[in-house]
Amino acid sequence: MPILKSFNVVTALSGSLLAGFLMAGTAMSAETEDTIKYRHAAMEAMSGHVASFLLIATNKIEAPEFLQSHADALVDLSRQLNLMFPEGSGGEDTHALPAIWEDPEGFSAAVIKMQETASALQLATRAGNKSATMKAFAEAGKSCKGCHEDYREEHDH
Amino acid sequence: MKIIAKNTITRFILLRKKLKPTMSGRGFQRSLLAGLMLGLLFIGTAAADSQQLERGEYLTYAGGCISCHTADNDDAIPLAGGHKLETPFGIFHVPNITPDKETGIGNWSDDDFINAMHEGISPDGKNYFPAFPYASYTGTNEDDVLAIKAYLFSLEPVYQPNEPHELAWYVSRLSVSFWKMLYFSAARFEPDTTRPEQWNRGAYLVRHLGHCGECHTPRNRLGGPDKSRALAGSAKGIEGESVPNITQDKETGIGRWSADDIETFLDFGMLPDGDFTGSDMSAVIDDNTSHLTPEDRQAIAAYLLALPHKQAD
Repeated sequence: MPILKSFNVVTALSGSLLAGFLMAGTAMSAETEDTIKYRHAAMEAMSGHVASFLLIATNKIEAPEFLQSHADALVDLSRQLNLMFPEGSGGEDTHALPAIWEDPEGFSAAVIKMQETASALQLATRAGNKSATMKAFAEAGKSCKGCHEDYREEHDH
Repeated sequence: MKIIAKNTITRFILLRKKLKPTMSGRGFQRSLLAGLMLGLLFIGTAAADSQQLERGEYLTYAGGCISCHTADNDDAIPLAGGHKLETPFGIFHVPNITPDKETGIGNWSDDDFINAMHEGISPDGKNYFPAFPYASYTGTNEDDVLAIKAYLFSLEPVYQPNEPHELAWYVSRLSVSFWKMLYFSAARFEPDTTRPEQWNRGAYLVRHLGHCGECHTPRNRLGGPDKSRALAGSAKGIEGESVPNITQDKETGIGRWSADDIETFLDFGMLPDGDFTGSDMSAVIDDNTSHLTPEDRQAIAAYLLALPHKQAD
C-alpha cells in the first residue's frame, strides 16, 4: 500500500504540475489574445476618429463643434501606442510584424512621430486655421502610412 | 512647344544667312537688330524648354518612373536604378535611367526613347521584358514621352552599373517576342469623344501613363493580362502581395467609394474608414499620385467610377 500511496502522490503531484504548466500556458495566451484584441480595437478607434475628423474638416458633415474631440482622441490614443505592443504579442494572430520587436528603435521613432504629428493636429485644430489643419492632417496621415509600411502586414479590408 | 523650337532653329539659320554678306553701316545696324531678335528668340526657347522640363517632371511622376527606377534604400538616388522587382518569372533589376552615358540612358536619341516607350524595344533592337510596362506606355502621346525624356536628360548623370536580371530558365528575350505577339499591340490612346474630357484624361492616366492595370489587372500563367477582368485585382499580385479590385463592385471592389474618397486615397493614402495603407501602393502614392494635380486625381476617380462592376477572383 505505501508503494501505491507514494505512486499516487507522485501521479497527483506530476498531474497538478502538468495542469499548472498548461494553465500557465493558456493564461499567457489569453493575455496575449486580449492584448491583440485591445490593440486592434484601439487602432480601429483611431481610424474612426481619423475618418470622422476628415468628414467634418471637409464640411461633408456640418458639425464643427465635434472636430476638436476627434483630434484630442487621436492624441490620447497615440500616447498609448508604446504600451500596445509588449514583447511576445506578435505571431500569427496579428498583423503586427516581427520588425516591431526586431527594430525597437525604428518602431519607437515611428511612434514618436505619430505622437508629434497628432499633437500638431490638435494644436492646428484648436487654432482654427483651416489650411494649417489640413496640412497637419496630411502629416499625421503620413506617419500612419509610414509606420504601416514597415511594421504592419497588409491585409484585405 | 516643339514647333516653337523648330521655328527658332529655322529663323536662326535664315538670320545667319542674312548676316553673312556685309559689315557696312547698314549691315551692322541690321546685325545689331538681328542680334537683338536672336536674343529674344533664345529667351523664348529657354522659356519653352523650362516649360517642357516642368511638364516632363510632372509626367515622370505621373508615369510612376521613380517608384520603380529607384533603389529601396533610404539614400538611394532617384531614377538611378537598383530596385528589385520580384515576380513569379524571376527577379528584375530595374535599370538606371539617369543620363549617364555608360550606365544610364545618356546615349539615347529621341527615337530610342520613343521606341522603348511605345514599342518595348531597346536601342540595340532587343525586346524589353514586359516588367517595363510598355504595354501600357504604348498609349502615351509622343509629346509627353519627349517631355519625360527632356526631364530625365536634365538630371545629373549617375554612374551606377545595372545588375543582370535573375530569371526563370524559360524567360528569355525570345519568349518575350512570343509574349508580344499574344498580348502587345502598339497603339496611341484615342480619346472617346462620346465621353467627357475628364473621363478621357482619367483613361489616359489609368490605362497608359499611370499603368494601373499592370498590377491591378489579373494575369494568366504566361503573364498576359486578363483584359476581361481589367482592374479587378489579383489574389496573388505580380510582386506577391494581393492587389485589390478597383472596379465598381460593392463587395470586393471600391463600389462604395466616392470620387472624393478616391482622391483622398491617391493624395495621402487614407482609406474611407480612416485606415492608412502600408501596401506596395504606398510607394505609388508617395512617388506618383500625391504629386498629381487635384484635377488629375479627380479625373482618375471619374474614370474608375465609370468602370463596370467586376468581382475579384
